[in-house]
Order: sequence, then structure tokens, then C-alpha cells
Amino acid sequence: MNYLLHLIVLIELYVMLALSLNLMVGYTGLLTLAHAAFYGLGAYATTLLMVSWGFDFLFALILAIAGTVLLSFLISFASLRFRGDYFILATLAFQVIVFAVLYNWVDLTRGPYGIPGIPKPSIFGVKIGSLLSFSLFGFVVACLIAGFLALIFRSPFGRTLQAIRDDELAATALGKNVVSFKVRSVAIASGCAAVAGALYATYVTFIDPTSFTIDESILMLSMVIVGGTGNLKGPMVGAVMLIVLPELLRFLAIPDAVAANIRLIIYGFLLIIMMHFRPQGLAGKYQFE
Amino acid sequence: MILQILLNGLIAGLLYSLVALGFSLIYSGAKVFHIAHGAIYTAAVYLFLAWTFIAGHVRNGWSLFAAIFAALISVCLLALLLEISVYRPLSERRAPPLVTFISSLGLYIIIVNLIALVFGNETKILNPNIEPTITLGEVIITRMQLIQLIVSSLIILLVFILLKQSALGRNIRALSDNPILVSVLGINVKRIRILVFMLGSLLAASASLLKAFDVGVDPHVGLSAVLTAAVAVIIGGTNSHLGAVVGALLLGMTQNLVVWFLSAQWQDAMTFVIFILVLLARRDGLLATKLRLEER
Amino acid sequence: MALLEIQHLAKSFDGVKAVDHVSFAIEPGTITSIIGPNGAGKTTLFNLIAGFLRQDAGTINYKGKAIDVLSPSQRAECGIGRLWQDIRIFRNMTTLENLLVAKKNQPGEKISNYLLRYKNVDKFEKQNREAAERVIKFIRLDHKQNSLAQDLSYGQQKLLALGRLLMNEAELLLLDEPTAGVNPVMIDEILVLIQMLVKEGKTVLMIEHNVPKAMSISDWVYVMDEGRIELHGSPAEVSSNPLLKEVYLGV
Repeated sequence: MNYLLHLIVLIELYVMLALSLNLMVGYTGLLTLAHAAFYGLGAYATTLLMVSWGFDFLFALILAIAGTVLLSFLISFASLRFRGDYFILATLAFQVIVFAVLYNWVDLTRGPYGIPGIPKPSIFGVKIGSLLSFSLFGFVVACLIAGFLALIFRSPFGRTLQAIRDDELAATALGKNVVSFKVRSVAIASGCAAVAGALYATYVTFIDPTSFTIDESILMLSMVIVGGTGNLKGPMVGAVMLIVLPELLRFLAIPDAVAANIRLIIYGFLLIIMMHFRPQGLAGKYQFE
Repeated sequence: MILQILLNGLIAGLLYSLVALGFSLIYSGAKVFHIAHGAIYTAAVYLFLAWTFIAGHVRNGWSLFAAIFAALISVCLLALLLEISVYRPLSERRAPPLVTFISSLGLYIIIVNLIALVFGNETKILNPNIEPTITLGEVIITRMQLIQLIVSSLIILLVFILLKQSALGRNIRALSDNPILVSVLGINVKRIRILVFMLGSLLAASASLLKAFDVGVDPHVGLSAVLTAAVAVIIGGTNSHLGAVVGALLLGMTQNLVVWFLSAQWQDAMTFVIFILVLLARRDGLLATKLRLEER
Repeated sequence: MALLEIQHLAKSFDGVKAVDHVSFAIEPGTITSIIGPNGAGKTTLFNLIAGFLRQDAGTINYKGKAIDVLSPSQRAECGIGRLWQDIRIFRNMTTLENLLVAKKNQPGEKISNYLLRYKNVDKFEKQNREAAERVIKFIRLDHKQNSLAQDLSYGQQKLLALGRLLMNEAELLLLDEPTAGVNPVMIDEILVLIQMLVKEGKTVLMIEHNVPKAMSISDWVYVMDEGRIELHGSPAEVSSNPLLKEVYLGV
């Protein structure tokens, strides 16, 4: 039962991550390898605020979101003026730089040693201690984020994002300030990823930089690509699939040391197979152009 | 001191140049953002290790070269496999560049993790001995560094001569410029693409082997290498192979300055800071010829 | 007052003069055609007017004001609309969505409005939808309103692109080869549509290779070659001028 609840929490986290990534990739056409960086920034910001400064969860969360969104403006400024493939490289750059900072700025983040002892969240005095209550809490948060993103997807803002994705020049010629839309898309996506990060940190109560590497970004990207882009259910399908599938490996009694490698090999194959046979993903709406 | 840094930077830059040149050839020749180039880079060394394992152990100079030769052949075959199974089908279906990029990413992940699965994640040292050194005034250069310097310079020179003078070189340049015209003229595009991938992969392989004999290898060295190469190609201007070399040398120098002033941990980060700064200053790269608006 | 006035506009690429000191004025409510051989610089001229390229020399005035410093989207906001040779519709969106998205300054594009002042957004969306439904009937694509734009025929996509310009309330329409690549019936449909747009108060500047058709609806014609205006006048004047043959055939 505990195992099932653990899986549910993971699904809740990754649904938030996949849906927010979808806003950038599926709706705005911005392929990014930096989503794990925002996830990590949210986790570390919340952690440091709670552990080192003693803030309570909600306050730390809000500040973490704000901080991550502000940093997203930095990446937007540096990279949105570049053409398509350069943008991807720039996001990769951001991912690598953020990881380097988390890993090397030992005075702030304790580097590879990580930060233990993250307290469980406590909302208005109610402590969310048990696994069951955390999974319920996670469910509420995931629903809020998913609902918020669903609204954005369906809004005129979301519609204009799609136009930008389909043909940036034409959108510009209709009077749309493309850079402004892209910046906002990145900001929203990063904010939602930060929420997932905060939740993750308080769930595992110990974080270190190795949870927020390029491999993690690739995992999230795989969820969106395999599950489908450009709509609401695609990323959710992808999140569930890519959480559940590797867990099935456990039942094959594969030793932990190699499990990570095998899992990644599966993701690699899934990416290639998807691109080859079904670029719009299993349940998605938009096919990469 | 500064001369030492510059020398180290030059040698590092030359090794990067090999990888960057390979990446550039594939990017302009086959129109693929071949991030799996990093996987081939890594695989080359591990294939070498596999061959030495198969051969028993390295008994003498000849078996060392035999193993290197076998590794290079294996790398060509691996490149051939990638092109035939993944890249060519996508190219024939006129898949959008993003789709090809994601497929390349998938290839990278598979190859690197297979290597980690078989060989483990730890760093492997190929040459446990201390290298003899030569002292030239203020600078010290190891034997291995000297080999790196000479071999990489020769290879780069050979490639540029090949591109300029040979029929293959002409065909590659034609393919970069105008793939449709090339096929219309009856030139075998499939063959040239394969040769482009093989040539590019050989360049990456020579870089990784030269480096591995110096500092060893682990399954994850490829990502940093290909990223540095991609950055070098972009800041040099994507339609200029010379630009790729210049970009790589620049990165090699700056990286070593960073290592001296800060620490090795910030190397990759520095590469990207340079990447962003250069592109902010000159949108198409340092040596590029201007692209038409629609080509951007 | 002229709607668009360009003076000594020049643009070179690597020494090639794509646009070589071109000057003209476009009066509102007129249809002007620019004809000439391939490579004459016509599309470059459009790119300069629309703001996608920065000129090397010369000025562009729109409604009496200099627009040289404005970005392409800013020029679009002023009322300059563009139809490309390769159409550029939003392929993964439906016909209706293509039209809905074309409206300028939608309150729903600001997220704060959408979340907090939903009533405003809703009202605008309803009006937007009504306008879109009128336009879609006007361009006779109402039976295709929920089809993905990429599933429309080439001619239908052209009509959709024109419909988008209508929704966008563009006043100066830069049309790059509006009749290229469509069957003869569709050509006439498009020309009729263009004339109706002008009756509604729009101004059209179009690049055309179909010289007779272009002449048939134009008020004024410019002939461009090698970046310069070689000839201009009313359709009758231009078509009877022997220089025209020289320009096109190089004889």
C-alpha cells in the first residue's frame, strides 16, 4: 500500500512537471532541456528558506515560485532571441550552469552533500506528516496546477501561443509581440515546475543536486513526447506511463545499480520509436514541425 | 605561468577542434544536429578497451596500434549503423529538424547507458604511467600532450586539404550547399552522407582516444565534448568549418583560463556563458556569412 | 495624404542591390500592383515595408508618420498586413481558430485579464467569434470551420490568409503573389475578394506575376527590375509601353 501511495505521489509530481513542460514545448513550440533546472531551483529555494531561515511551507513556496520565475526571465533574455536549435542549446546551457551552481556553491547549497532534514509541510497549523496525507495533499496541489494550466491552454493567450508555435513570422505580422508571449510561457512553466520542486523537497526530506540533472530533463521531455503534446491528456498519459513502466522493472529483479541505466535506455528507445512512428505522441494533438 | 595556460589551452582547443570539425561536417553535410556525436566520442574509447580485452592485453606497440585501428573501424561501423537505421529514414521522410534532434538524443542516451551498463560508471585510466615531460623555458609539456598537439594538428590539416582538393571534399561541400541539386546531378547522396558520418565520427574518435590516453575516460565525457563542439560550431558560424576550429580553439583557451582562476567544476558552465555572450553580440556567429531572412 | 510613402529606399546584400533607391506613394483605397521579373527585389521591398528587414538608406512613412524604428509587430499594430507567397497559415489550428487568433489587442491575451476580469474577456471573445463567423462566411469556408488549416486546399488556405487580414483589421494589405498556384476559378474569386476589401476601405499593394489579371484590377502599376522602378503608370499606359517587354524578357 505504501508503495502504491509512493507511486501516486510521483505521478502527481510528474503530472505537474509534464503539463508545465507541455506549455513550453507543445503550445509555444519551445523545446527545452532546462525544465529540471527549474524543478531543482524550486526545490532548493523552498528547502533553504525552510531549513536555513525557518520560514513555513506556504511562505517558502511563494518565495520559491517568485525566485524561479525571476530567474526564468534571465534564461528568456539570454536565449529567446536565438533561432530554434540555438534556443535548445541555450536551455541546455542553463541546465548545466544551474547544476554547476547547485553542485559547486557549497557554502550555499552544501553541494554534493545535499541538504537533509527538510520538514514536512504544515498548512495553517496542520502538519502533513503521513504518506497518506501527503499523497492527498499532492493530489490537491496537482489538481490546482493542472487546472490552472488547463485554463491557460484554453485561453486566448494559449491560442496565440499556438499561433506562435505554428508560424512565428505570421504571428508577428498580425501584431503579436512574440517575445512577450514566449517569456510569459517560460515564466508560467518555470513557476509550476518550482511548485513541483517544493513538493518533492518536502516529500523526500533530503535533496541533493543529482536529482536535478540533464537526465531528469530528458525524462520529463520523454513524458511529453511519448504521451503527446499540445493538449491536456497527452502529458498526463506520458507521466503515468513513464513512472509506471520502470517500476515494472522492479518485478524483474534487476539490480538497482543497473536499473537506472536500463531505465534510461528504455527512454532512449521510446524517444526514437515515437519520433519514427508517432511524432504526435500516444495521446497528443500536435506533431512537431 | 600564462604561457603554460596558453599551451594547455591550445592543446585542449585542438582536441575540441577535432570534435567540432566532425560535428560541423555532419551538421552541414547531413543537416543533423548530431548530439549522438558525443556518444560516438565516448564509444570510441570503450571500443578500444573492448578490443584490447579481446586481444588479451597490449603486448607491444603494434598491438596497441592494432587495437586503435580496430576501434576506429568499429566507430565507422557504428556511424554507418546510426545513419542507416535512424538518420536516413528520417531524412527521406523529410522529418522536421526537431524530430531528428530528439531521435539523436535518444541515440545518445541508449549508447551511453549501454556503455555504462557493460563497463561501469567509474573512470577508466588507459595509461597508468607517469608521462615523461619536456621543459621549454617556462613551460612544461608532457609526451602525451606533444602527441596530442602534433596528431590533432595533422588531422585537422589533412581534413581541410581533403575538403579543398579531393572529389569527396567537393561532394561534401556541394551537399552542404544544395542537397537537392546534388542528387539531381546524379551524385550518390546516400554514399556521401555515410562518408560524412564516418569522417565526422573518426574525428571525434581520434579526439577521445588522444584525450583518454592522457586523463582516462568515463561514460559521461561525451556530453561535455559534444556540447563544447556544438558551441564551437555555432560561435564560429555554422556554415564555416574554419569557424568551428576557431571557435574550438577559443573555447579551449578560455576554459583553461577559467580552470586556473576558478576551478575545473565551472568549465562547462563557462563554455555556455561564452556561447550566450558571443551570440548576443553576433547573432550568426563570428565567421558566418549572412543568412537570408527565411533561412534563419 | 498618401497612406504609404517610401523615399529612396535601399537595401543591399553582400554588394547586391536588392532594392536600389525606390520611391513611391500609395493612396488610400487603391489597388497598386508591382510586377517584374524574378529577383527584381519585390519581396525584399515588402520585407522592408513590413519591418522584417532594416533598410540601408531611405525612409518609410505610414499615415504621415515615420515608421522606420518600429518592429514588425508594431507596424502590424498600426495597420500594415502581410500575405506571404508561401501563405503561412497556422497549420495545427482550425480554420476558425486561425481567424479568432488574428484579432488585434485581445484582452484574453493578458493572463491577468483572463483570470481576474473574465467578464471582459468573455464579452470580447463573443464579439470575436461573431466577427470570425461573418468572415468565414465571406470567404466561403464555413463548411470547413473546424478543419485543421493544414487540411485545406492551397486555394482555401489563401482565402483563409486573406480572411485573417480582415480579422486583423489591417488597412494596408501587402499581398505577395495572391493568385499564384491556384486554379483559374479561384484566381477570379481571390481578385473579387481583393476588390471587395478595397471597397470596404482597405488599400492593396500587391506583387503579381499574373500580369493581365493584376492589370485588370489595379489602379496603378509599378514595374521593378534589379531593384529599381523602371516604369510606372496606369495599367493602360504600362501595358502599351514597349519598355515592358524589355524588362520582362531582357531584350
